[in-house]
Amino acid sequence: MNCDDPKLTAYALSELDPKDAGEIREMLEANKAASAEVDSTIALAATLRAHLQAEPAVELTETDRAEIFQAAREWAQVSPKIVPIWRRPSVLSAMAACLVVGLSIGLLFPAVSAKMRSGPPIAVRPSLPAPAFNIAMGESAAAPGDNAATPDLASSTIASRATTPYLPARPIPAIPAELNPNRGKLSIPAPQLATRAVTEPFTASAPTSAGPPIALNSPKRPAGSATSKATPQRKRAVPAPAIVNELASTKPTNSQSDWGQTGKGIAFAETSVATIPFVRVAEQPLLSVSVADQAPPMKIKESIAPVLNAEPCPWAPGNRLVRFAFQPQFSGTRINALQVEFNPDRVSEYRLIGVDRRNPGLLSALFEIVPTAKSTGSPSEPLKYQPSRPATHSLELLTVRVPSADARGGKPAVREFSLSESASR
Amino acid sequence: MPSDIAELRSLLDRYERPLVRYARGILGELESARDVVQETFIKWIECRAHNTDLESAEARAAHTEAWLFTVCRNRAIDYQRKQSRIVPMNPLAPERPSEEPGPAAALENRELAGSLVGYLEMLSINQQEVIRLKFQNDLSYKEIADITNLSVTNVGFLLHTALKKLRSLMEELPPNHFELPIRQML
Repeated sequence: MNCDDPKLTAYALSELDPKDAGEIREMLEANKAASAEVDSTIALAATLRAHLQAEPAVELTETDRAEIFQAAREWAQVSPKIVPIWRRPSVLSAMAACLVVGLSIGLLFPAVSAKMRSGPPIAVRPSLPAPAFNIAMGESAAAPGDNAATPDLASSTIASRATTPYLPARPIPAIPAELNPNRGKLSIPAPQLATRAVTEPFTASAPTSAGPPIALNSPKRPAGSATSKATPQRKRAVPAPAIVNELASTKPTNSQSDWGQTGKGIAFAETSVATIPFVRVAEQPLLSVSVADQAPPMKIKESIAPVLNAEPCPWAPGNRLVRFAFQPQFSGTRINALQVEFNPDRVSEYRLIGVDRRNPGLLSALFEIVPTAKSTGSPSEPLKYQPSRPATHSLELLTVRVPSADARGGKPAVREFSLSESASR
Repeated sequence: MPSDIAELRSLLDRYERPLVRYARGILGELESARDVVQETFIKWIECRAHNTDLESAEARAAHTEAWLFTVCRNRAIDYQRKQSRIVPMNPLAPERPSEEPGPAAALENRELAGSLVGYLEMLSINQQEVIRLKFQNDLSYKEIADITNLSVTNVGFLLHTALKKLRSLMEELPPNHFELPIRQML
């Protein structure tokens, strides 16, 4: 061991525990230099102790001592304050923390949950300057109690801004629910979304027969109950078909504010499908469906997958229900707006039944179309100021235009997808 | 509370002088040291009034000595800091005294250098403090560590180096004015 070791000093001052002291003692027997160092330290410590403790000890003055005792007496007279448990600082702090947490949860959680439930509001606007209609919400036809009891479609009305008289509201003959074979399910097969990348121009070729029935109806509610609760509404002069009621039961939109929260549900243009007017393709071939969204326009890197399904309309055998859906190939992107243009050679009239945006990034729309050969309305007079469109004589049913932006930050462009019904048949 | 008064009296009788001596070693002034010790005892009274019967008498007695020295040290350091911030203003002193020590001061310095106190003054502040706490108040390494907020190892190292330096100083400087025990030792 080195002689310049603090352990030797600690041994000399008796600060080591017995075990270390024994080791040092054994070492000192063999190391004379270390032993001399320890002896010197012991001697110096004794000298210091004797000298320092011999210093004159000065005590406090009488005044200082009197003040100390006076303070002691004053503190002795102060009775110890007994603070109730609920008034102690720790308890009060805990109560305040609980209050803050409770208020935060109470105030923030409904807002967050409502925001999570809600999505971008959906508005259907026609392309200008063509005669158009907007979907405007009317007053709720159902009483608040009815709304709570029957989550049903909003009693909205279509405010027709069309200047042309060829947009009448044509009621659809109702199909009794008990006679409807499609009651309880939607017969339109689910589109095969995101199964393949479609290069434009796109022609839908996904076989509809391969898909399962579309899950637009609420799985938790029997179809019959939805029909029984949805039909006896005040404004429904014509009972809505079962399929519409099933659609309606998936998302209640019964007020103006609810209309803005339909992004994750199915947004319907009308309470009763019967009051949705048909639009003649001859006058208004183009329909713009804009979905208000704060997200930037969808950036399409490669492709999106538009899928078209068409089935016979259950309540109008001559008509067809057409559903097309878009799902971007990349998560986080959203379709903000799109334009649907129907081929006048294939479609004479159409109407928008609803828009489904329950899945982020997925937009599907359900149309009822009247094929050209089955058109029942009176022939419309040609518009004076509408540009004439040459007949295409193609099998394309409709064309969807989706505004897009280049993924690399290029100029905004419009992707166009032409969909044909033939492939889906 | 008579029991507290009696305990305070016993504490004063036992620790009054060591505390004044310890505070004087830090501050270098007797009156300031007395003020610090008085505040230390008043602080003990306050803490005792707030924490009545929280500890047994034995447990309190075991910690009282270290507690008193710790509070006394902190108060002395606070007092030093306050004094260091006070700048004496003397605008009516046009004549500036010479910084050279006078004859009497020079003689005093020589006498001081020859004594044990002079040797201690040559140590660092930390070394002086641990030397005084160890040999003047007979505190253990652990108690010194608690008072000075140092580790036990650090206290041992400080004491080791302080004693080593003291020995070297005593060998270098002649012990003209040493007390008898140091002469005998050398």
